[in-house]
Amino acid sequence: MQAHIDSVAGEIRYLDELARADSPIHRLSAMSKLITTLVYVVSVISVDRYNISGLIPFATYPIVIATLSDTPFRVLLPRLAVPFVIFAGLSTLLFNRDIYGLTISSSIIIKSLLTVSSVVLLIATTPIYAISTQLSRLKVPQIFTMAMLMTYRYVLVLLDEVALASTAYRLRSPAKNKGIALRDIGSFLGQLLLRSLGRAERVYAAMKCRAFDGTFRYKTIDNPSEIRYIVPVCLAIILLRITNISLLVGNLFLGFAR
Amino acid sequence: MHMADALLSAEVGGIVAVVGAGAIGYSASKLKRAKNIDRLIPLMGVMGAFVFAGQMLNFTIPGTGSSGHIGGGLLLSALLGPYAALITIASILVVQCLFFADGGLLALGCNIFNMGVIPAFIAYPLIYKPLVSRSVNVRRLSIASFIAVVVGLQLGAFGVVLETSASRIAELPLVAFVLLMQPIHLAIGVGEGLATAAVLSFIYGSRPELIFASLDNKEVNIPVRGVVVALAVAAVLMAGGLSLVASQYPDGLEWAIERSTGGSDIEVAGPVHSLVANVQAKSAFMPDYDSKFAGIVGGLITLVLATSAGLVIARLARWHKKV
Repeated sequence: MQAHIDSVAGEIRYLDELARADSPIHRLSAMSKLITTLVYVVSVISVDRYNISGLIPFATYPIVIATLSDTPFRVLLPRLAVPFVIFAGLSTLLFNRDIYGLTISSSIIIKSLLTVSSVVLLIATTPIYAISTQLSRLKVPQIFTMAMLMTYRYVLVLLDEVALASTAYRLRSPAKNKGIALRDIGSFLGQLLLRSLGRAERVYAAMKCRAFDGTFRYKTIDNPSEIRYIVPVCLAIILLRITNISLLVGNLFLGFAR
Repeated sequence: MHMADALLSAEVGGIVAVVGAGAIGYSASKLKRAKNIDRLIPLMGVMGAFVFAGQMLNFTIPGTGSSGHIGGGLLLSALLGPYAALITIASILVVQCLFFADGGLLALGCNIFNMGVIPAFIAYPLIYKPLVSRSVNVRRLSIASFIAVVVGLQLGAFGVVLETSASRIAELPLVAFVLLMQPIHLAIGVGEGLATAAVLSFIYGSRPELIFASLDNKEVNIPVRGVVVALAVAAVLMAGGLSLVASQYPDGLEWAIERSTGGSDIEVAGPVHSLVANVQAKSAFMPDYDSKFAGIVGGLITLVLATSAGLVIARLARWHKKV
């Protein structure tokens, strides 16, 4: 359990570090990346479920973005195996043991790979405070964007506490290897919860001392060059959606081959 | 139970995202009127982080050998009230989606609905609160929270089934899907229910005022009718959207062709048309299999091109840095 918690904390720190790097993609505003990621995800999932060849050209987007932003592919890989999607894909195959079932399953898995990559690339190139600020600018309730930001901030702290507490528990109960016994979970989580509430009070006091009044102030940044990124990229994605590039390329190639 | 983008259609994802966003907006407006709103923000942040970290902890369920972990929906509702709980759960889901790909971006709406709106706006006011309001003691607290968690999780799992089936991406027969999902989530719900009951009992033992805080809050007044109406509207929209997509009639173009030519194919006529037809015939290697085969070949070539483009860009970037 300690190892699991450590790896989770490590992943968060690593993504945080990646997001602070510098590259042409990092320099884009959070708004551009949010819009293009959303357009990409919607375009990919709206592809007909029997159309596999039409999905493949969509791989261009994550490949190019990952390369331009210097995001190592090892960041994308572990997240691509989404258990629920694999379960749904395989179940589809189970209930439709024919070419159609295979096509649908493959389509689901490929769509999952594509959409997950695009979201991972978003967070690997955009610090979460930038996303939170951008959402506030879009009039998303600040109470939500700030809670989101603070949840992120305190996840590492709470993970440390949970790791410490679970180590202490295991040192005092050597026979229990699998986890925490059910009869202990109440007091274990309860103590953690009470300590978290105490921490929340102290954080609140610290924020009030620094003149926090419930609102988040951000400077307005106007970056007109963003349109030069958003429009072409979104148009390209939509083009990929409405045409089947694989088919065109394949026909051309085979035409030449004759 | 986190939904992925790949299983959702754009329509279903969009509609439920609107419902989820509406729930967040509604909760935020309710909280704005509460006193000490600035105290709520660090509270929600830290509690969100607590639930996130708490989900890493597995506890063993005696007699079954299996393990479970807390979900947090009802726990947060019982301690913070439903509005703050919804926003906290939404924050946790966003962090999970972005950092761990646990749930898709468009599917955030569905996840916020299944794991936030259902425990906070259905299980909490309809099960937990009525049972506990009459009199508070450890027994009532445990039973109420246990039932609320189990029912909430069953409804949430059913939500996943409905959203997946309505999207018509995965071809899963509804009955089989339900029979698969519900028992699994019943088992998970039992584990989570026991843990939630245990935690709330502990809190009641050490800091009872926390349990009473949300119960006594008169401002918490979920309009159940409103929730039901919103759900019904969303369901109608989805069903309507689906019926348009799954229309039995030929699509507009085919219908037009049938009406105008009396057949379903257009005959080639005229020099321009023959020229284009010739080009198409020549460029299609195998006229019968052309679509699938060309698609596969084209797909592979495109993939190779895209990867090469990636490598070239990486090379150029490195060369640029050196210079």
